[in-house]
Amino acid sequence: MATSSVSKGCFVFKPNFKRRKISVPIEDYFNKGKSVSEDSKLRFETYQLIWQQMKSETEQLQEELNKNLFDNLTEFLQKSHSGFQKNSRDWSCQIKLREIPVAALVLGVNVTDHDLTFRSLTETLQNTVTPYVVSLQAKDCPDMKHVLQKLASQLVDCGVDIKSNEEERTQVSQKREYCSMDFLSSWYRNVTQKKIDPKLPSKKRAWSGQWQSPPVVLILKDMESFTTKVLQDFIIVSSQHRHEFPLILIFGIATSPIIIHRLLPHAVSSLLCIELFQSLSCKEHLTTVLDKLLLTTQFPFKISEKVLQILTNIFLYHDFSIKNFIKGLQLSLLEHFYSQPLSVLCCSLPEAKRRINFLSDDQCENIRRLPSFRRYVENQASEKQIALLTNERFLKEEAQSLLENLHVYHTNYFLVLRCLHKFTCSLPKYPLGRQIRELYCTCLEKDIWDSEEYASTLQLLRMLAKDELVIILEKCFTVFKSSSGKQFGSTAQRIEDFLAQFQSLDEAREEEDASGSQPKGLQKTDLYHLQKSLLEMKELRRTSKKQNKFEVLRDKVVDFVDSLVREFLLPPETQPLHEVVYFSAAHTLREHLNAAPRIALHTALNNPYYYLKNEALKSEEGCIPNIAPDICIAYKLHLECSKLINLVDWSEAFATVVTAAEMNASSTASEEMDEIIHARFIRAVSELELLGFIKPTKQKTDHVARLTWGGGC
Amino acid sequence: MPHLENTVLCRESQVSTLQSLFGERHHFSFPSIFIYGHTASGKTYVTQTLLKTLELKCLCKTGWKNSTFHCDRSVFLVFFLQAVLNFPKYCEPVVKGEANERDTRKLWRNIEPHLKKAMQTVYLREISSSQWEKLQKDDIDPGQLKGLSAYTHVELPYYSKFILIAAYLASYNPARTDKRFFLKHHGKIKKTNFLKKHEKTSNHLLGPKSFPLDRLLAILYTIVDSRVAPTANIFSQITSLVTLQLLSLVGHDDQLDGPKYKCTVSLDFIRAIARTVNFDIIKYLYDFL
Repeated sequence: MATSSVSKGCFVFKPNFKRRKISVPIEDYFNKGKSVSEDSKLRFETYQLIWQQMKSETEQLQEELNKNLFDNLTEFLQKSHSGFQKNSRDWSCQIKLREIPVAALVLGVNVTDHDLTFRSLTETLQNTVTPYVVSLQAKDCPDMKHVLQKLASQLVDCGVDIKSNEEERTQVSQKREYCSMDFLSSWYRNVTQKKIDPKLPSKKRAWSGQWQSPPVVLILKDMESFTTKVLQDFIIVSSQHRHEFPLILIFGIATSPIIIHRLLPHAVSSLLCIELFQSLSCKEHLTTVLDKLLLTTQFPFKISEKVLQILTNIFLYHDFSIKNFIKGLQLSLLEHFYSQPLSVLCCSLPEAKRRINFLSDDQCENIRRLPSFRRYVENQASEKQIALLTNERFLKEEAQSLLENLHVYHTNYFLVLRCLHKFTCSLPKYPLGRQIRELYCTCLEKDIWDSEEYASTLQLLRMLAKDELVIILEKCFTVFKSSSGKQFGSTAQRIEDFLAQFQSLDEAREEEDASGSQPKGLQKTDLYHLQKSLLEMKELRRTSKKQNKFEVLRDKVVDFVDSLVREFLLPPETQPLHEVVYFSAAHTLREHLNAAPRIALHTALNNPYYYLKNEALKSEEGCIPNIAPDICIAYKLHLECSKLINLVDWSEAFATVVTAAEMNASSTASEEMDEIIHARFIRAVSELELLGFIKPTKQKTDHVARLTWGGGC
Repeated sequence: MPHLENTVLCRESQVSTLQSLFGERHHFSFPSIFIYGHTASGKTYVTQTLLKTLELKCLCKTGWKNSTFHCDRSVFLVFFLQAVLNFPKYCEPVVKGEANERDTRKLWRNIEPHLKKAMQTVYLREISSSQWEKLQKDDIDPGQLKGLSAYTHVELPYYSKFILIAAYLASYNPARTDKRFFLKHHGKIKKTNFLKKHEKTSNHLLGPKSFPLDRLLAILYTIVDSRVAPTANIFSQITSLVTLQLLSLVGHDDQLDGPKYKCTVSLDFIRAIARTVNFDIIKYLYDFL
């Protein structure tokens, strides 16, 4: 071992690679501690399947939402570059050529989601516009030299796909030290001229682009972090070389396009031809994600109201990040399958029915213990009760029918929810919330018809104008029509009837108008007579409580909607066996997602058993066992002191506690022991200082100041 | 160029200056040159001769007598780039047959509002030149197209807005006034004579001051009306705001002990944000007491 050296050194020895690392597969973690009868393997497989489906759904959704934006961008790029190709002698074109086309892409403050967007954008551009797409981040570009180097190295990697050329690569690595715009221009010239030769084999992807010399697209991922100087220099130099190195820039902006004016002076921004593109607002993205993942019967997994609130609160209050929201959803899915043994039935309905037949006795017991099932049993006739509690066969059959009911309940629920949303989203002041997720939260929580907001909603609905009502009814009609279930055939029919009635009302009134609009004419009246006739009309209107036909019909519609809500929008807790598909352990989720470092620290120091799991450390509230780690003892002792702590007293108390522990082990007290205890005390105090609980003070010698308030932090 | 000097007498210095500005043919030149002088001093003649000799293309605009540029005398402006964009519009009346080529005044009056709009938009790079051309072709009113400066609104998460407001208050209020604004039962702050004499400038003119993280958190917990749990999310939001350049870190990156920040947004921006959460920020600012 070569560890001898003249000065102090640190030597690293890498482990022997012959011994292969044993990595534990995920299933083992999942199945640890569970009995076979609890179907843990099957649960894990089901979880993986559902998660794969959900993930691909979100990716598809992402693509669709970005499609519009990417299409616009591609069009812009193609249009800007077509000028370059024309190579016209027209002097106006020549002058416009000097401007670098720039797409200012405003993406929103959720910086964590931008990566994905840029990756898919790069792919799209590489497939449609040009293979030379390069991304740069601000932290890689502290000055011009680094910008050019990074640009050159990434470009050569792009170009190599088209035609691999060893010489080019070595050329670049040699030239890496001397990157300049001239090098880039000459590289571009070489690459575009080589394509004329048709005999060259095309690697991997056949670039069949329509251009002989495609543009070079440079994406600046985080515009705000770039320094002004670097950007300015780069833009000025690139614009001078534009006729031989056609660069197009894409600025990735998180806040607002004003940043361009702030970063670049007018002299530089006049060299740019900037167009603005905005991506979809993240709140709309959230609504769509929720719609596709939760408000549907495609995925059997659902979450309770509290869990949904936690996830949406993190989104709305903290970071606007879709990626984190989906991760939270994945966590709830995993937690559900991990902790609920009956989650083996959380899959598609035919599969679930099949699995019920293979449930073990333990699982049947689990079913019987479910609170919702117990409530269901209590409501049955006594023979049936006995059968359910003793007969496995009977229980399984009953469970199958209950699962089917649950499925039907969900189908109806979401249809009626959407219908209700169509009604409430257009009301002033949005008593039931504007977005469907707010409505969904309210419905999940309790019986919605008991709430005041619902009452005020109905009142507002009774005041809707005719054309609005007709539009909403038509939308609801499409919602119900699109459902495949039979039970809503009659509902759709009823809505159609309503619409027809409204239509006939229209015609009836038109006829009336046509016939009755004959000359009451304009008679000449004087003020007195006019007043009298107006007062008479008012009296008439007040006394006649008879509503006209439209109002009667409107009331009927509102009552109909009310009846639908009361019948189908029951909260899920009322359904037996809902625990199989609903995840409701909100506190577990909160523990994982809302990290509270201070609370964790406090728990660790006060109650070391929680993390160390050493049986000997278990103690009652308020006492600290003698064998606890030094820092816990020091912490506990310092809590009893006031603002300034005397180090000498503290160390004596510490020594007392620690020696009491040592005394149990061996009854020898010696000088050495004291020294060791003293050293341990110093270490504990400096650790507390590092954690920020105390700090040295000059107010009194040999004292330290407490940085937290008394009574526990 | 001896030939040139013979045709244009007594203007050698101007000619040589112009020549150096134009440079050789393959050099890149300035996009626009502004030549001014009294009437009939030969600006047009000199420039046109020089350009003819060098065989450069140009567009000359003369006779902007009653222009908006606050010049008493006529000025002679050569706008290379802007002229390219506006020339079609300029020629419009001629094409339409309303005026003949010599009628500069009429042409000018036609183009003046157009140029004004151009100054506000394309010239300031609010919209791109291709968008401007498209506008001209379709003949839409340029005011309808929103330029870059119209999009100032930034949508932030709820607590981020409060963090930004707290940061603004910490930057622009002196630390000794915190007690008065954020405690329920505060004493009166008496402005002593010394302070009155020396408090000449408002903090808004001096710019934002730096503040430690603790002060930011203390103000944040006071101004948020509901209970805020001190989770790690709040801390990472502060760093996100630094990434977005709405706050800036003062001092070195490595200093974990006592990070100091500074708020870099303007008063208008923060007022717009405070309005979205129903928070009256003016009430809490020392300068507006």
